[in-house]
Formats: sequence, C-alpha cells, structure tokens
Amino acid sequence: MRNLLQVAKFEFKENIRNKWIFAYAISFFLISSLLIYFGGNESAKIIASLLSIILLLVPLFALLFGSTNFLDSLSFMEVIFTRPISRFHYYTGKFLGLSFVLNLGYLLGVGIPVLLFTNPESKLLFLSIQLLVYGFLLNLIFLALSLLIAVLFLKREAVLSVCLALWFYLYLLYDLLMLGISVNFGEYPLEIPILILTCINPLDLVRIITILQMDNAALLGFTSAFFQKFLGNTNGILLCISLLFIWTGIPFYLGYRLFSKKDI
Amino acid sequence: MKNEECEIRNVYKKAIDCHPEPVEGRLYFIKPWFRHIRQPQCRLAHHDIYFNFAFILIYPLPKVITQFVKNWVFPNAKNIIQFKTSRYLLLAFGILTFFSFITLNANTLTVCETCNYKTIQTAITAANTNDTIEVKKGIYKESPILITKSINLKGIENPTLDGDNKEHVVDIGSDNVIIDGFRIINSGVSDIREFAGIHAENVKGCELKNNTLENNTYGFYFAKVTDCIVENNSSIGNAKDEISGGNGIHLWSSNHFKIIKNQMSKHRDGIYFEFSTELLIEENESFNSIRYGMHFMFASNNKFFKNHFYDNSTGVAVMFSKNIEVKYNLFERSRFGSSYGLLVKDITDSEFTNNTFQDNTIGIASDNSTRNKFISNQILRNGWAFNMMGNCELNEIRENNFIGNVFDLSTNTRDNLNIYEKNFWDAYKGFDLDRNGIGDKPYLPVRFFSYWVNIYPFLMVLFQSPVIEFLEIAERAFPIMTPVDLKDPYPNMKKFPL
Repeated sequence: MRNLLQVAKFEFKENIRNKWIFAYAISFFLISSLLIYFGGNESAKIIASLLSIILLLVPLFALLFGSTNFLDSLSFMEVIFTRPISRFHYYTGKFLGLSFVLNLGYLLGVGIPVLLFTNPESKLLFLSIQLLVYGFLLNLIFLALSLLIAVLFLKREAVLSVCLALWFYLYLLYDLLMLGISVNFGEYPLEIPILILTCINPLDLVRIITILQMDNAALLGFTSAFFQKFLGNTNGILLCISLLFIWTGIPFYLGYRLFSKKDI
Repeated sequence: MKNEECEIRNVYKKAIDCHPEPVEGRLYFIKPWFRHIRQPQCRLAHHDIYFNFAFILIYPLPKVITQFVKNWVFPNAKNIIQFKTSRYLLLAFGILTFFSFITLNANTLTVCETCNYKTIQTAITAANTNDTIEVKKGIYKESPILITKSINLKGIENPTLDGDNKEHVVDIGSDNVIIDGFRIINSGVSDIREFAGIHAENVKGCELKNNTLENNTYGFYFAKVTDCIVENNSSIGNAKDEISGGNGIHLWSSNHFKIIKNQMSKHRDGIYFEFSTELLIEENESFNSIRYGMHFMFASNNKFFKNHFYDNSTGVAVMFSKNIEVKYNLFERSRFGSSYGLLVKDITDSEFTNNTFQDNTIGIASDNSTRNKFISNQILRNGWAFNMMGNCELNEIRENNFIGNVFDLSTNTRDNLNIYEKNFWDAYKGFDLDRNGIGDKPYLPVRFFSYWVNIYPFLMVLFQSPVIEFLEIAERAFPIMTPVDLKDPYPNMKKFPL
C-alpha cells in the first residue's frame, strides 16, 4: 500500500509540471469562460455547448495523455521492477497519479468558470456540477482505456492510432451506426434496444442524461418522455454514474491483468 | 430569458388593448333595451339607440296631434286648455309606457335564513316573470334548483349553491334568465348523464356572470341554447382522467354566445364546442386541463381573441370546422407526450394571426387542413415549431417569427403543397447582398434529422449528437436528404417586431 501511494505521489509530482496539462486546463478555462460569457443567461445553451466541448476534448486528451505517458515510462519501469514492488501497486499507483493530475487540470479548467461566472440559479448550478462529475468520470474511463491500449500494443504508432480510432468510434461512428440501425430497422419497436445501445457508450450516456435534465427535454415529445421515465430522475443519474464506474472498472481490470502478465 | 418573457407579455397586453375591430356589431344579441338603466356599467348597444331614436320620434307626436286638432278639426274652438291637458295626458301616457318597462322589473324577492323565502325554489315558485330574486349569504342545498321563469337570480356576497354530489346544481328551463354572483359547488358525478354546475337546455337568452364554480363535473352545460352571455366566471373542475372528466364550458348545438373573461382549470377540456356557430370567445384563461384547453368540433364561423391557454395537455384543438378567426391568443407550455399548442385538424378557410406559441412540445400541428392562413405569429422556444402533415394543402405561412425552436418545421412527406413566405427563421444562415431585407438564398426549414425524427421518434436519442451536427453541416453542402420542394424562397432577415 505504501508503494502504491508512493508511485501515485511520484506520478503526480512528475506530471503536474507537464506543459500539456497546462495547455489543457487553460484551453478549457478559456473555452468555458467564453461560452458562459457569450451564452448570456440562456442556461440551456451554455450547458449544451459545455457538454459538447467536454464530450469532444476530455476523451481525446485523456486517451492521448495516458497512453503517451505510459509509453514514456516504459524504460523507467524496467528499472523500478528490479525493486520489490508489485505490478498491481505500480499500475494502480500510476492510474491514480495520472487521473489526479488530469482531473486537477479538468476541474480547474471547467470548474472555476462554471462555479464563478454562472448565476447561482439552482437548476444551472446543479446541471454544471453534474457535468463536472460526468467529466471527472469520463477522465477516469478514458485514462483506464488508454492504459489498457498502451499495455496491449506497447508500440507508439500502434497505440496512438488505436487511441484515435477508439475516440473516433465512440464519438462519431457509434452514433452513426445507431442512426443506421434506426433508419433501417425503424419499423420494429426499437425504443428499448436503442436505450440499451445508448447506455453502452459512455459519451452517449453522458450526453443523453444531461439533455434529459435540461428544461427543453420536455419539448422533445413522446420519446424524450419515454427516456425521461428511465433516465430523467435521480435513479437515472445513479444508474448513469454506476454505469460509468463499470466503464472505468472493466478496462482498468483488463489493463492490470495484461500488465501483470506482460513481459516488459 | 426573463427580459424576453416580459417583452412578450407586454406585447400580449398591448394586443389586448388594441383590438383589431369592434366585435359588438357583428354578433347581435337581443338585450333588454333598459339594461343601461338597470346596470349603469353597460353601455348603450345598437338596439338601445334605435329605441331612443324611436322615442325622439314619438315624443313630439302629442304636440303635433293637438296642433292638428286645434287648427284643422276645431279651428274655432275657444277652450284650448282642454287640448293642452290632452297633450299632457298623452305625454304622461308616453312616459308611463316608457317607465313601465322598468317597473316590470321592480319586484324583488329576498331569500335568506330569516327571510320570507328560505329556499330559492320557493322564491322561484312565488316569483313573476322578470322578478329579481336576491339570495343572501349562506349555503343552499337544494339540488337541482329548477328555474322555470324568466328571472334575475342575484347572489349577494357570494351565497353557495351546494349540489351535494347529486345532480345539476342549477337547471335553467326558461328563456332570459340571469344568474349573477354565486358560488356553485359539488354537482353529481355520473357515467351516463352529464351533471353540471349550471345546466341549460332548449332555452334562449341567458346571462351567467361573476360565478365561481368548484368541483363540478361540467361547469356550464348548454344544449340547444342561443344568445347567451357567459362572463367573468371561474371554474375549477374535478377531472382526473379523460373518461370521467367533464368540460368547463360545454356547448352542444348552441349558437350566438359571448364567452368572455372566464377562467377554467382542471377540467377535461376547459371550453368545448360542438355544432356551435357564431361564438365570440374573448379574454378567457384555460389551464391545467386534462386534455385540451379549448376544443372545437364541427363549430364553424367562430372567433376567438386574446385568450390565454397554458399548462394544458394540448392548448387548443380545432377540428372539423370552417371560417374560424384566431387572433392575439397566447398558447404556452403544452408539454410532454404528443402535446400541441394548437392542433388544427380538418379545418378550412381559417385565419390564425398574431398569436404567440411558446414553450410547447409542438407549437402548431396541422393535419388535413386546407386554405388556412398563419400570419404574423410568434413561434418561440418550442420543441417542434410547426408540424405540417403531408395531407395539408394551400396553407399560407407568412411573416411569422420562428425563434429558438429545436426544430422549425417537420413534415412526413417530401412534397410540399403549402406556401411558406417571408418568415423570419433564426436558424437561417443566408445573407442579403442587395440589402432588401430578404435573404438571397431560400431557406429549407426541414432538416435531415427533423425529417427522420418525425418518422422514427426514438431517434431523439441522437439529439445534439456530434454525428447529427456533422451530417447537418454536410447537408448544407450537399442537400440530398432535404425535401427541396419545401422552402421559404424569401426568408426575412430581421425578426418581425414582437
């Protein structure tokens, strides 16, 4: 346990000075301040645009940052595993340290403008805090995924391309597939399959659950009422958060299993 | 958002102040001519003025007659005084006949616990035609109160008529009845009969004013009634579902009504018309209805102005009718499920102008309707602004503001049989190089996503998904999916003043 914490502490110290984290935090800070500034008092629009920015940037950055970082520390690993330190402690420590750094950047970048510059109008504040939590969880998920991918391939080019492909798939292709399925099999009762498909993709899940909390969800007719029944209440939020945790857990576990067997 | 809302409300108020045309002259009601004397707040109507003209004509008659008699019948008569008296007699007779109309109404019977009449029914039995029955404060449980004479029933300090959940609370069975200032509660509930707070059947001319109705299945129920005024009443119903619930004001085969300044809530339909024509519905509020704020069935040639419908399942449903004027109304917050601000079904030759539709799931839904005009409406912040089904033809959608809607227009065909012109669309991305205020490129309001969502509603799951945004950008470059027929060739660049 002491080893784990030491590794985490080391990773945090090592990466807190990373220029990419600075760039990440500052760009988030600028983008969200601008969005809130120009969004005026239309809370729905602010939340929607924040949401799309988070869904775009958080996974991409977490994937690239995590995987490159892991690959960079491969040579260091060779040294450190000569010491009596278990692979579990090292892997978990690395994950914790990296996630701490990433989330620090994310929470400072998005959280400060959101919490400072928005009206303390209860609904908006609630939604923004929810967004912060989802972004936090997305960071964890994609960090775990990035470590998994890095362990899996270990080659820089392969890892980066797989990371980008995964991001592209989850961000764009998945929805496109869903659109294709819906349009082709639209004659069948597809509500529940589509709902399940949505829950499988963390980005879709975050998007739909945030939109369902927004005021104009009521304007979106029968289907949104149907989804609201499943996801629009507190149970929906809890379900979403637990699904996101599962999404963190599975890649992390798989990554650790691979890592513990892999010859480095 | 608040500022905008304020603005809209002010406009709405302004709309109330500047009414498009005097309505008094169009819908003609047989009012007693002496009403302006009895009730000074009523202004003279046309027929009152006619009577006054007639009186001016009659007034000099005695003098003319006496002059005629004096000069031509008895040219040599000495005793002129006789003629003078006869003249004054005639005048007195004239004045007497004049006031006799008023004195007809002079009888007043009072009902209270300590009065001669302890129940309203006994007072009605004792009353003559055109008597006034004043009912003092108290609770009267005599369901149903049968009104069999033309009387004026007046409540002093809001006496309560309690129907005790048995039957109609008040049943009007005579012409020209006035009911003013009562609290009418607890009508019966039945699966077979429609029990109402005030029920009237087969009569003419009534005035129902300043009543508050509570917990009645139907508030006002009219069948085959003509020439009524329903003004300044409020009704809170007890509807729990569509089947057992009743309507606030229910008109069946009833014509020539004025329904003004009423408040209806918690009914199945706030206001309901079937086979009824020549109605004027003005400045009513209808909210929290289970089904529709207002419902028209087979009710042609009606006007409704300046009403406010909010928090209903559907604001107003107009069905199977012609020649309806809908102006200066406000339709708000018809939400969830398939809710419409205004549902237009099988309607022809009607006008919908200067209305405001905001925060509805679907602002206006038009189904199988032809030759209607939708002009100068404000369609703000709805889920779907306008749902025009493919079976609608030759409708004109012109000079409307489409602002802040999630989808501007949805339809289920690729053809277009309607006319869209000079609307303001806030999603229009065109330009105006010749600076004539009209966009140079036509606007295609039906987007690829809104088209598919209309066909497969569960696609809503992809709302605001990046894929959809990318595809819509691509669609702008390659407009394959959009029904090209449906376009606004002259989109307005500036929004029309709110």
